[in-house]
Order: sequence, then C-alpha cells, then structure tokens
Amino acid sequence: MKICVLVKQVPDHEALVKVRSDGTLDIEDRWVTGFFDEIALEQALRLREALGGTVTAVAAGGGKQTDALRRALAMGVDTVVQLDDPALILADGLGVARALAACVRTLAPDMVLAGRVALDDEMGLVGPAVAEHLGWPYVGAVVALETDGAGFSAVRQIEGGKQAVKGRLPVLLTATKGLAEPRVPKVMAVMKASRARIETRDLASLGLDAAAVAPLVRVLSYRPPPTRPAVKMITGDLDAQVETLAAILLSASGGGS
Amino acid sequence: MSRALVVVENTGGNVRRACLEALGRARSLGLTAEALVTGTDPLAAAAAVAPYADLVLCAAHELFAHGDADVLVPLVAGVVTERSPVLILVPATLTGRDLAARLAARLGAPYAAEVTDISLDPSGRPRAVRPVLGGKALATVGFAGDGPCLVTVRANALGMPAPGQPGEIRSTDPRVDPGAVRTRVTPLDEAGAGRVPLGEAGIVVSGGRGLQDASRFELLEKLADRLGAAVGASRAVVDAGWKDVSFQVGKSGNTVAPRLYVAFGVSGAVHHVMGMDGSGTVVVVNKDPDAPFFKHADHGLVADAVQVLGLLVRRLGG
Ligand SMILES: Cc1cc2nc3c(=O)[nH]c(=O)nc-3n(C[C@H](O)[C@H](O)[C@H](O)COP(=O)(O)OP(=O)(O)OC[C@H]3O[C@@H](n4cnc5c(N)ncnc54)[C@H](O)[C@@H]3O)c2cc1C
Ligand SMILES: Nc1ncnc2c1ncn2[C@@H]1O[C@H](COP(=O)(O)O)[C@@H](O)[C@H]1O
Repeated sequence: MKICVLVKQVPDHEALVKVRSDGTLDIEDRWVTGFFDEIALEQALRLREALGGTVTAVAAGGGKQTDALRRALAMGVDTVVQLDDPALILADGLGVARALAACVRTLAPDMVLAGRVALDDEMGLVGPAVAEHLGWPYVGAVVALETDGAGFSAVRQIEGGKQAVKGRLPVLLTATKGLAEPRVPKVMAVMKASRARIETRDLASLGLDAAAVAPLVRVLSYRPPPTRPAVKMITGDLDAQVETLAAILLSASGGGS
Repeated sequence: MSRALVVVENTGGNVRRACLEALGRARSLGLTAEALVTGTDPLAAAAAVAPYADLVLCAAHELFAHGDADVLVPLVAGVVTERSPVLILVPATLTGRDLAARLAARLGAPYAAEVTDISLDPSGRPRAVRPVLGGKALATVGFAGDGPCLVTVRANALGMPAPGQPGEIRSTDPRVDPGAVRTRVTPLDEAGAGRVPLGEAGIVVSGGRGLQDASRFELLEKLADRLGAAVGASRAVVDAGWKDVSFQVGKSGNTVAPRLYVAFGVSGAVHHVMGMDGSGTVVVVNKDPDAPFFKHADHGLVADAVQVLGLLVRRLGG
C-alpha cells in the first residue's frame, strides 16, 4: 500500500506572538511539525508496518517546511517531496491544496492522510480541498482507522458523537487526536534525517502556474485579542465563598433562583 | 437586495445555534437571509429556522440523514448557482467545516474558517474576523473577486437574533445523485446525547486533573445539568482515560466560546486556555493560588475543587 502524508511546519504553540502597531504579526522563531500531522504520520507508519508498502511525506512551501519533512524522515517515512516555488509564498489554503493535489496525483497513492487542522492559520481547509480536487472520498477528524488495502473502515468525530464510515480506497482522511500517539524519533534517526537530501519540485513540473495558486483570501490586518481585566478573588469562609460562587454562576448563566 | 445563504445543520429537528446567529447577522448587514435546510424530513427544522429567515429552502432526501458531504456539496453548489448569494455561511462544527472546505474547493470560492465577526466593506464586499494562532491574534480578512464568499461561523460569536415574522418555506430539488455517494456512514453511540454540544453551549463547566478521580465528573455533570451547561475536560483528564477526547477543551481539542466558562482543578496551561479564552465570564476554582489559570479568569476561588463542587451542587439543588 502506498500512502502520502501532508505535513506542515508551524510556529510552536508556545511561541510568543506580538501584534505590531502597523497590524502585522511578530511571531517568535520557534517551530514544530503540525500536531495533527504527526498523528497522521504515525498512523501511516503503522499501516506500513502492518501491510507493507511505502509512506511519502509531502510539504508545500519553502524555508521551514524542510524541517517538517526532516521530522517525517526521522519518524521513518520512506521518501519526502517538497513543493518549493516562489508563487507558494503568497498562496492561501486553496492554492496550497491545488498544488498538493497535483503532486499527489503524480505519486498515485492508495491513501492520503493530513492533519485535521494546522494550528497556525487554523483553517482546516487543505485536507478536504485536496480530496475535492482529486475527486476522492473524504473522511474528516478520524479517531480510528482500519484498512486491508482495498477498503477502509474509519471512525470519525462529529459534534457531540461519532460516526462509522466505510468505503473503498483511494481515500483522503484527516487525523485528529486519539487516532495514534506519534512516536518520538531516535537521536540517530534525527541526525540522519538532518543530512538527508530533500527532493524539491516546482509548480511548472506539476503543470501549474502562479495563477493556479493565487490567493483568494487576504489578511488585511491583525489585532491583539481583547484583554481580560484582573481576576477578582472570591474571599470569606468556604460557605460564604460557595454562596458568592453560586451567585456569580447564576447571574452569568442567565438562570434564576 | 444582495443575499446571504445559510446552510443549516440540524440533528433531529434541533438547529445549530450558529445557524440562527448567522441568519441574524445577515439581516443586520442588510442582506436577504436565506436558509437551506436538509434532512430526511426537514420540515420541523425549517419551521424552527423560519422566524429568523426571509426564505427557507427545504431539501428532503434519505441520503441527507447523516450530513454526508458527497450529497450536500452538489446541493449547496446548485443552490448557490440558482440564488447567487454574496455570502455563504455554514456553522463551524466539524461537519460544517469539512462541508465548507469542500465547497470552497468545488466553487473556487474564497473561504474563511471559524469567523467571529462579519461586516461589509464600503463597496458591500464581506469582511470577516477570525482568531489565529490559538487566539493570540485576530485577523481581519478580505475576499478576492466578486463571486460568493464562504465562511464558517463560530457559535456564540455573532449574537442571537430575536425571532420575527416567519419567512416563506419553499421546497427545493435535493439534486441527489446516489452514484455520488462513496462512503457508508452509520452513527455510533452518541456520547453526549441529550446534552448541549460542547461547541455551541452557552455555558461550559470543565474539570481537570485537580478533580483527582474520574468519578468526580459525576458531580460536574450534576452541576452542568443544573446550569444547562456542557461538560469539558483538560487534556490530562482525557489522557488519563477519565473522559473521551470529544470532551477535551484546548488547542488540540475543542475551541469553545461560551458566555460562562467554569473550570475546576484545571491548571490553565496555555494549550488549554487557547481553546477557551474567547469565553465571556471565566470562573476558576483551583487550590493553588499561583495556578496560571487565574491570570485568564474574571473570578477566582482558591479552594479544594471537589469540596466546592459538592457544596455547589447541593446549594443549587442539583
Ligand atoms: C501540543 C500540546 C497540545 C496540548 N493540547 C491541550 C488541549 O487541547 N487541552 C488541554 O487541556 N491541554 C492540552 N495540552 C496539555 C497542557 O499543556 C496541560 O498539560 C494540561 O492542560 C494539564 O491538565 P490539568 O490542568 O487538568 O492537569 P495538571 O497540570 O495536573 O493540573 C491540575 C491542576 O489542578 C489543581 N489541583 C490539584 N488538586 C486540586 C484540588 N483538590 N482542588 C483544586 N485544584 C486542584 C492543581 O493546582 C493544578 O493547577 C497540550 C499540550 C501539548 C504539548
Ligand atoms: N503547506 C502545506 N504543505 C503540506 N501540507 C499542508 C500544508 N498546509 C496544510 N497542510 C495539510 O493540511 C492540514 C490542514 O491545514 P490547514 O488547512 O492549513 O488548517 C495540515 O494539518 C496538513 O496536513
């Protein structure tokens, strides 16, 4: 079985984010591979271990995206492909999805795994959009997955519950928490991955031009979130505290009594 | 007048709150508020939506039962061609977000996910505000071209409109091609059945490892019932197996923005706070006066969370 995993390097969750007075962002230079992308990688590696085949990680974009692919190599994928093209710098999720779909088509996998959402732009767009461009079935927010190489059976999260989804390959699925616990690569594997040569492709090699990835959504400006006033501590003995707490809850909940 | 189309998500006649809020916002922007309601028998949902809409389009088909995007994408795309809305609004549920993303790719339409505010620029083109980077910044986004713009809207963000004169309910061709359905979907046990879904609850009561034991969540559930709240949990609680991952609040779980968020024995790690910092009033109970969560709270109580929970449930008659 041939599996592709879409991976993206994003600012670390703990990176400091400042909004400059001109409405642009200043993000501390600390990066990690997408939280859900690592889950997708882990799932792909487990399927390979069970069924044989290959896992290829694909990232679109230059610069830090190389690190996502090195992480994937360190975790154990067979090959990686980086789509690197100046036109991708400005691309939005739809453009990235078009480029990734074109790349995936050349790799002709049986399954594509992506993260449910990338925790920088938090769009949750690229996975389903790639599926749509490929004309493939799609299952989002998957927490359990089985396949025999011909069909698949997945459990997906929905609001307030779960659904079982069955179908035939090829399929694109997005991984969410619960699907698999990502392995931590060994030091030797990290060192080897840091020296690996990363294959890059540009848009032209996929039959695309800059217009195909031109952004449709543009950030006009950023602003900081509203700040909360200083906390008011509830004082008194325990009974009095619970009484005050109850009053706060009832008034803020809009309920009576 | 320009139109907005709200794609309504409903389960058993219960309409997602965000859909009504979206219709309300469309009207207050001076757009005609049109709703598309689907289901095996969508009439009850259509009637629930009508007081908030100028027109309700009703598409009935067996295959709409589980919100399968294989049949919803062609339907919405068809309705968009017919009604040419300037703005398409979908609730930002897991299913809604997947539907919107696939629609965006299918229509080549600009899309912004999980918006918390929508306005029109001077030329009448929509603009939206959305939190990024775990709520550390709010982005105002504009949409290219002059075709329909697509947004998913977060619950509790746009404000609940008052019901008015019911709009016309009109049935529409479901445009279903059974051959387009490639997956078989069956609902599984509804973990939170009967309770308000976490993502759209007006009140969330959350528990962390400070509750010390899975059984303490029964007390939390009692409090939730008393307040009409949904129950949330920290990741530590999920990792310990006390609660299913669908309860997790935070960066790698659910993002919630209720008007009241109450946390018992949750430390307030940045990953947790990122999933709830957009909430209205935040109340934190923690035995450690230096718990980070107090920095993100309106009201704080330094006490044993289990004890407080017990007394509170008794006080509120839960
Ligand atoms: C990539 C990544 C993503 C993450 N995503 C999430 C996420 O989505 N959601 C999330 O919640 N976490 C997430 N985390 C984990 C997060 O960093 C914290 O570890 C987690 O939130 C801690 O949960 P907790 O507060 O319940 O437990 P603890 O950190 O163990 O804190 C327990 C708290 O309870 C208090 N306490 C103890 N006993 C009592 C008592 N008797 N009465 C009152 N208070 C008491 C303690 O003072 C303490 O503050 C993520 C971490 C990473 C690295
Ligand atoms: N530039 C990219 N390169 C490769 N995969 C990506 C890229 N952007 C997003 N993805 C994949 O799509 C998922 C969702 O991303 P997003 O739509 O940005 O929230 C991520 O978790 C990745 O799996």
